[in-house]
Amino acid sequence: MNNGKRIFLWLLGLTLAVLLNSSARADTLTLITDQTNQKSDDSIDWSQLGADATVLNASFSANTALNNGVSVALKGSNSLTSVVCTATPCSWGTGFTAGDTLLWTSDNANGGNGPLTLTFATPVFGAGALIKADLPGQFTAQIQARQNGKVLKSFTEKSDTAGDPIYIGVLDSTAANITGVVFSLSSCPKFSSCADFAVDKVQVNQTSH
Amino acid sequence: MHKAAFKGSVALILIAAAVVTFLVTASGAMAFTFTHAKRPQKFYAVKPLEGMTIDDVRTATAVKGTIPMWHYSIVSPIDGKTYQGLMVGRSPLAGGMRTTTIQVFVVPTIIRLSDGTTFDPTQIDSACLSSTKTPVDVMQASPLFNDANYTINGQFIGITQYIDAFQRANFYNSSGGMLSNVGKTGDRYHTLFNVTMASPITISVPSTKGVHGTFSNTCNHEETAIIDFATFDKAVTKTQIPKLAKSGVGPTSFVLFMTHNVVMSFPFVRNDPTQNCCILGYHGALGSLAKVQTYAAADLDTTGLWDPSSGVDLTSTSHEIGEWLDDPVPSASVKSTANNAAPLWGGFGQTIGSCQGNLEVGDPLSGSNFPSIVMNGFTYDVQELAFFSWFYRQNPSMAAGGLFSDSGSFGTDAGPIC
Repeated sequence: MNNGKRIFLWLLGLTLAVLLNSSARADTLTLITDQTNQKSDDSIDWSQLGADATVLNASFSANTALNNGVSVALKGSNSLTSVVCTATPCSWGTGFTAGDTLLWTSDNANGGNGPLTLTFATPVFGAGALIKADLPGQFTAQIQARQNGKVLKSFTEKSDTAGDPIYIGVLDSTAANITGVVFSLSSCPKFSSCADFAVDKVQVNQTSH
Repeated sequence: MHKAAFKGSVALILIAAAVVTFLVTASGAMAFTFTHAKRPQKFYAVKPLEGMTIDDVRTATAVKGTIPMWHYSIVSPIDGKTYQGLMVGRSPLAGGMRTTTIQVFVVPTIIRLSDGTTFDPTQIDSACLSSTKTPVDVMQASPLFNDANYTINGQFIGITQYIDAFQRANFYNSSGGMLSNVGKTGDRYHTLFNVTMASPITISVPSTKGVHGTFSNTCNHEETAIIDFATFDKAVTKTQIPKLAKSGVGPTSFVLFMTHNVVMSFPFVRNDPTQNCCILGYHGALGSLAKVQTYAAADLDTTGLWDPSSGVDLTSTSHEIGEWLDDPVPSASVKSTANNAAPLWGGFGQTIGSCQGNLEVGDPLSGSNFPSIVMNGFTYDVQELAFFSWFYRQNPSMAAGGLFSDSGSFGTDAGPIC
């Protein structure tokens, strides 16, 4: 075996090892259903997009508090920022933290622009948020962790029958392999649009804990 | 058209014919005149949606096969039965509050009778309306499509369109298990109209289905046309709505056919057209599969016959748009399970001596106006409308000021079952 072949095989082995290692790490993703268990060190506050009822484009940029850039994508335009009551002016009345600014995926009919896709400039260990369907009734939330567009893992979580907000997050306990997350509803109250939901401040894990 | 679908309306019209006495004098093949001690009775009708269930319509709504609608369900304290229905826009009972904008096409509708006489809302009526503006202009500039300042039952509701102000007031507060965020969320909940004035259309009415003449004591002796309801509805649903598709009219918009000094009777009686008269407007829906088209027709009257006040008479138009907003897909049934059914009520508005079993927010206050609205150089008269809580005997009322209609005429609910 000449030197060229040796170097080629060595590089091939190294590449396979890196790929296998990455996959192994992605397999350690876990569902987080309580914000305190997310143990986040960063967040995306939607109030940076504007005051209550700011109309949003289908895609736009945002930043985490620690200045990690985030690309935000929706299915269409006319979604809103929506401040939770009892702040004034406000919209969502119950279930979220009063004064928080939500990203509400509604459209200007009675449907929505979900899912909500977030892509981080710098990969993160995890992310999660409180989520709620617009109409009352039980819903199932879904979070999908992605690495460069590839789905690492999806988790679902069911709300109570009233449809109160639930926390859904994902955490990679081994490495910052998550380059993006997708929030959506996989089921929603009958005759409503599963694309119509609200997401509170997104908790982000920039570092391991 | 199926006669069964008009059962309720026909019953009302026949009652009216019995209580109003006219002296009719034929004065020519196509004209009539008559004298009477009091003005003719006016009525409003509905054209029920046929062949679709409420769940079919909800499916259509979910897939955007019609205008935005929201669903309610309530157990009425008066009879313990569960009622359900659909209204236009987003739910004021849901999590988020936002503005929903409905595309409205106002279609000026010229009625041409067989002798060539036309009733045309695109022509200036200088004697009884304006020397510079047509009825269509006056409609476009009206509070139905432009903002005014509304305080309803002592509660500031906002600067908005009249029908939106009514609906905001309608669900202003929570009551019992129905939690509304409208009053708590400031200016966030609205159902607004983006109006487009379409090109005029002409409906030709055969001699057997329409007449014209002069009622006594009208402005400048203006004439009124009386035409057959079924003929008109067939023309708009079978011919005009499909033709208007090229102008953008479709299931995701609401279409209003606007006439000028035209009323309808059902069924039309050629030898005595004041029989079964006078329908000043109606709203209806037609659909199949996952598409539903809602529409209405209303008269802008300048004869002065129907409006107790002296402003621009938008009582019929406000009546119909208000009713469409809160019952966009009328049902032919009055069973509690039917869409927008309500515990039987009666003795109010157009139901003197009869009962009605649906949520039609204009009917119980037919003849009662909201305070006149002055804007764009005109004084407009719109009708007072009844609130949701009135129909379902919901106490306390969800509405602004805790009352049961938007000008406070109803201080209590509809009372015992009719």
